[in-house]
Amino acid sequence: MKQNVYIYFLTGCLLLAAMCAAVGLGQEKRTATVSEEQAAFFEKRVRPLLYNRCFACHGEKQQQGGLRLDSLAAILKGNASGPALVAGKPEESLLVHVIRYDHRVKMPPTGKLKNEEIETLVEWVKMGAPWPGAKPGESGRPAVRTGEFVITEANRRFWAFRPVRKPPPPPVKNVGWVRSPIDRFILAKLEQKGLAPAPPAEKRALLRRVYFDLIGLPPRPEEVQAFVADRSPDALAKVVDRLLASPHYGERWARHWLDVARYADSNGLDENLAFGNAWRYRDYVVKAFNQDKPYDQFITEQLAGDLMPADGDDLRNERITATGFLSLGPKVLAEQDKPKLVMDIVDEQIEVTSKAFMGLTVACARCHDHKFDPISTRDYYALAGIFKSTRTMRDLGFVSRVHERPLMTPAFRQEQVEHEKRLAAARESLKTAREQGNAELTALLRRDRERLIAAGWELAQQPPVVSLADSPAQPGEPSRIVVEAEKYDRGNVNRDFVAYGQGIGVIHSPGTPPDFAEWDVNLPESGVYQIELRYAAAEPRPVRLLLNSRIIRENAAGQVTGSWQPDGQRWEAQGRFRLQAGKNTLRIERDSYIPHFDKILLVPLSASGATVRTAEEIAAEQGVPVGLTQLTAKRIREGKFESLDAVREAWSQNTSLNALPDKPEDYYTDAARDGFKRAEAALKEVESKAPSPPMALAVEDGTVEDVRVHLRGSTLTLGDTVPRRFLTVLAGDAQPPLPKKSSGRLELAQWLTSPKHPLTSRVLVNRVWQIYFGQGLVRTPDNFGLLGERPTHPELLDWLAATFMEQGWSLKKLHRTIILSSAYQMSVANNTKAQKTDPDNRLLWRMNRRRLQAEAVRDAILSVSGRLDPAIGGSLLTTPNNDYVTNDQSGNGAGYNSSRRSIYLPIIRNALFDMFQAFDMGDPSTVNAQRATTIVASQALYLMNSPFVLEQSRHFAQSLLDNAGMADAARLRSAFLRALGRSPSPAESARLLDYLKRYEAALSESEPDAAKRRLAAWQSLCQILFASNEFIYLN
Amino acid sequence: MPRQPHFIQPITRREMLTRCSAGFGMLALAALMGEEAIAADSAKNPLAPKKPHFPPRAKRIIFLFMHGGPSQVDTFDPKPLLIRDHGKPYPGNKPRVQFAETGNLLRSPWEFRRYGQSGIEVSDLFPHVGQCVDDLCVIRSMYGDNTAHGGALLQLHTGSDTFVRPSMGSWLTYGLGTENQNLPGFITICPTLGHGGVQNWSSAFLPAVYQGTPIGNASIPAERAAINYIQNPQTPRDLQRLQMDMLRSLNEEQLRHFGHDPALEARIETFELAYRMQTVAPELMDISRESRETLKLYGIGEQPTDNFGRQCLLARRFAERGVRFIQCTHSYKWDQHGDLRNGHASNAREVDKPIAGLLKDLKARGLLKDTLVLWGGEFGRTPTAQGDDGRDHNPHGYTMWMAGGGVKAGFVYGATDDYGYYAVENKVHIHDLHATILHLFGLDHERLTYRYGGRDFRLTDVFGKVAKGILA
Repeated sequence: MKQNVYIYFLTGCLLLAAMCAAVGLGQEKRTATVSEEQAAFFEKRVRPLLYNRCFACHGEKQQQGGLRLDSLAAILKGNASGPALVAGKPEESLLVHVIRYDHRVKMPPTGKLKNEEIETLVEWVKMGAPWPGAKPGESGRPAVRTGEFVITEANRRFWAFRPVRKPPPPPVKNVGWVRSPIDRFILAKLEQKGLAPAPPAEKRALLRRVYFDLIGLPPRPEEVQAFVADRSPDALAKVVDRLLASPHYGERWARHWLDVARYADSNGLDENLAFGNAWRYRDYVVKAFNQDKPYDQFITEQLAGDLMPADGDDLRNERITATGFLSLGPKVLAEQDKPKLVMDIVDEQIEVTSKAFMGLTVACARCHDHKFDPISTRDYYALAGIFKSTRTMRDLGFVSRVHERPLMTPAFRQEQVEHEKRLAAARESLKTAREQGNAELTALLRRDRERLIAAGWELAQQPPVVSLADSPAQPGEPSRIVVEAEKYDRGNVNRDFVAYGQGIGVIHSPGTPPDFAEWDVNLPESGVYQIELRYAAAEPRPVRLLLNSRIIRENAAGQVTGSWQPDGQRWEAQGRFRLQAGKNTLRIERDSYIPHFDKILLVPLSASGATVRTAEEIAAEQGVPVGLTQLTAKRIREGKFESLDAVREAWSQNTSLNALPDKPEDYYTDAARDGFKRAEAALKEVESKAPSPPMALAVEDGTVEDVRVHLRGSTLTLGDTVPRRFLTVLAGDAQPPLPKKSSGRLELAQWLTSPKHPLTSRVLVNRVWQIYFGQGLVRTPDNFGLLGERPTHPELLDWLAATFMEQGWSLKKLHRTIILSSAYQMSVANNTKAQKTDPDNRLLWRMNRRRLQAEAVRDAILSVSGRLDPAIGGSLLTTPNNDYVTNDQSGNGAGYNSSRRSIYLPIIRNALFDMFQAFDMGDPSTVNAQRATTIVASQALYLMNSPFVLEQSRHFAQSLLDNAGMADAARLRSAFLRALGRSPSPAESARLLDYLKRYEAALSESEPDAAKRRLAAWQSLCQILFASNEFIYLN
Repeated sequence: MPRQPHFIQPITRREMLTRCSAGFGMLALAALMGEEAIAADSAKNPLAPKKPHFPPRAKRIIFLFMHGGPSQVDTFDPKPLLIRDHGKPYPGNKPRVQFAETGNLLRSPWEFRRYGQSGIEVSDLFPHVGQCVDDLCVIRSMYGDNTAHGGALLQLHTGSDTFVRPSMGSWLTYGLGTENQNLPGFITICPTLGHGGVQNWSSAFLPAVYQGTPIGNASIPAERAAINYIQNPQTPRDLQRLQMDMLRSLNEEQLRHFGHDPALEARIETFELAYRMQTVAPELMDISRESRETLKLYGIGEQPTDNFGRQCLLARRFAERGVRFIQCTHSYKWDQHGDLRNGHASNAREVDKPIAGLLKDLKARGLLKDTLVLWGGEFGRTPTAQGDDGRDHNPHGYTMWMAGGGVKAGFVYGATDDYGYYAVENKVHIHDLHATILHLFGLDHERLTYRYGGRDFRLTDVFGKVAKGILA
């Protein structure tokens, strides 16, 4: 076949040669004016087709028959035989004949294109083959990399993609310095350069360093003294073990992981809704560190905890909570292009997963093959399938919501059982009440049959109650009475004249039901009146209508009139009632919102000549209830009975005339109705108190599906479907397919945590190393790819990674290994020679001096002032779940006024706590593997002027002064020990004691109270200690 | 090798200056440590003035942001056919993604009239701005991608409605540094905390030194806006001086003990700088010494213009002192899904006079020629109605205008369709707006890049075309 193609093009060579040049010229003009429609047509229909069906053999990788089809220039150039198409002339284009299979050569060889695909290409050629971006004389290389993506052997042999091996520690000269294999790796390099490691750190400085590194808090004075006094060789090891066992260890190290996991208590981005349950994930992380959960298990739980087997509630809850890792990202919740939103969320999950665990920037491949690393767009969408098959969102509504899952606990189960019991009992009571009421009503219908029929018949003969509002008054009729609803005498509802009541004036709900309104109506004479109401309602809102405190209608004004606006206003007759002359009070009431009432109308009927009787009168005459009388009359009218006898006849035959009505309770006796209502209310009450389980931000598997390649990342231009799988460069071409019934997250986690995975362990030990030394062995902790830095000590990195895995992925063992090395215990002392040879300290000839991170600064201040609240876990976020944390109305709703450890303060995206921001916490919207260490004036302003620092300085001072018997020099010594872990030098002591005197003296005029002056001076001194370099930096 | 923007490990005093991100007042700190250091090493100093790619037309920008989305067809884009076809359906296709359903065409309740020599039409909402129309370059063909406030704000401010990206003010200060050594290069006055909040002035992955410095926020009046912790609530200034001296002495004593360390030395100086800022910043914010005529020009001291007038006057004061990017936010008021007549009228009354005052004042002081003024919202509004007195969000065609720094004056660029729904002629996408702004500052948007996470990022991503037609 290949041979055939070649021969064919060769024979056409001469024939087409001249034409080729001509077309080339025409092409220049044409590409200058590719219209938007043409471009869209090409991108949506032509390019994907060429990409999927042609480029594999005629693209960047292969040019079978010497032909390339991945740029217009290449197509026009054709091969040795000439151009593959003639723009504007499909019939003269070889390409067209070949794909139509109406030629000797038939392409693609694997099967003919679909008819519509052929038509697409023909139409494109007819258009003149517009190819956006193709410039005259250029190859017109398309924006989407189209050739088959190639992973070379060199790609696979890139250092970070090679398996981890455990190299033997190298020999060194100064064996006395070696405490740990780590030291051999460090020292060997130093010795190569003729450098010596810095001397060991002074004991007090070392202890302070270890405390802040492991638990993020300073040592107490007695702990310093004990360590200084302990001359045993394992003094430090004992401290390390004690600190690793402290619950504060988890609080410190969880925070490092939360930076990577872009943890926050709010969504950020466009709609800053509170993540009211995010804290459970944070507490999970704290606990995981404290328990020394193996890191491979920690990863698996975060990616797929919900898919792991779990015995018992606690483990299941923990694993569900862990998947909050995938849910925590910032999302454009009000994005109205919901398919885009879904893919943006998937993208964020790919980004955080690949960076956090593999140190790779996979998300680059969303729109095009990765420019530097061997990661193709197909790789990206293979991973995307895994996350697309995962449910992250509760809904994709206008402002979409993140999914949450219930956490089952024994307490909740018990509550649920009890609730079910209460529910059953309440339902039973209601059933009994209904049965009793119905039995009574049935008995009454039987017993009072004759009188009900008589009353009903008579009422049915009365003119029907229809609105008279629009019919003219009868001649001689006494004037009708109209009452404007908004002129009520008593009530709690709003009057409106501009919106719902524009031009007419209405009443509507104030927003705090129950609603009511009363009108006092003065009548000139007694008689029967028809009462009517004018109202507007877009949903049924029946009210109770009362006349002189007596309910005259239960479900008045209950119709839907069409809208809430003036155009929805309608009259509705409520019935006829006998009213006395003088004052009568009408009242409407409802437990919830009322319809929009405009007017009340009273039409006098008795004076018009006709004898009108009210339902009440008729019923009273027969001694039967009004309600049943009205019901019977209605049924008689509906049955169109000719005579009373016909009614009696029908009644005796058990027809609808004497059946129980739809809502029988409306016709119960007062006692039965009260009982029923009470039972109904009791049931509602029980229902409203359904226990709700604790919820966690978490994912679960959704619809499992493979995803199509999104050309240039757009949901509107889809390429072919890619099966879910892992990165080709690491997992190879022949990967077993992922299960059809689950997302593949569990398999992803298993792949990541396999000891054979070259990145997972390396990336983690590098993160830990970086926290101790200020820089990682790889100085780009989130990028182990081609553009990342190479490791300064590749063998050490591998030794640590291999040892870490050997030791069961235990972080605590890793900490111990590092801290007990001589390398870690070096001082920060400078060395002129080393400074010149290695100014960046890449070889680690000394320890780097490190500034405390934001949380440690705040926690240390609280700890030293004596105000630190050591409580563990829980939430300090006051904003309810899914409410807005920040907006223009509230400013920032999150409060930071707490003396809990900093890890428990809310992390609000878009409005980070200003202290955290000033001290370089970084944006909690993205993976933050390495915090900045800036020196900015805003840090100084915070330490000088913030109420927090002033207050803690005062507490610190007060606690020093509380010991009244102490001399000031001893007091100063105590302050130094607490804040800096050392005593002041004599010079410092003298200067500071003098400072106190001068400060108090300067205050003597403005502050008459000597005790207050003294407190102010000591407060000022304590603040100086908090602000000092020695407090903020680890030596 | 990738840049390492965040971690510093200063070795020498000079390196400290060039590598640490000091944020607010970094250069002042540098100044305290000796001007020569700056002069000798300005190329490496993150906030030192930098040479643009080509000669700039604008040196600073004042962005008057109308949060909520003012309606183009009621302000600067008159549509006779909208009047004629009022109440009829929009004859074209409505967008694929809409924020909400809208009804039929709704004519503007306001008359348009011609102003100035250019005769550009402005509605009766902006009579004062109308008087300045010969200075304006009205772009009637803006469009963006996002129909919701949050996404649209983020796209306008950062170029992306999808991801966390640096804001345009950050890019500009990253590209050009700042001219005033005592002030931040990027200030945002009373910004909104909603719809992206801090993200709209954040530096994202650019070094923190380029993030915007907020002064107040939208929930407090401009009169009370201040920099955080700029005043001590308790300690009198003279006692604080005493304290600062003691702190300095203690730190220096420690320094002698631990040896030379530029980071520790720099930190000592930040306290001096912070101490001085306590005086400088409030002075700059104090407008009481401006003349009565000036205050009147901005509508300060009268309602409803006082609040926005203060913002505009502060903007001029910052502009005078060389701040690169200044934003004033007229907070979330322009979102008239209903009550358009009242809402737009009262919004316009609050800003019309202050904006005109700012333009006149800048011009009188000779600042307008190299100050770019930009006016507009995150999107416009639909020519079709919501209810009978409202309009929905419309990112598909709307108006922004510029004045000063290098743009044609008394000029109209681009057009929407007959009804003002879609931009159709000389379309200017938000990416194009960004490219154009950078161009006016002498920066090629394709060359102003920053490497992060394995790739080079730009304000304009892979898009953006300079709207050459508006360049003077």
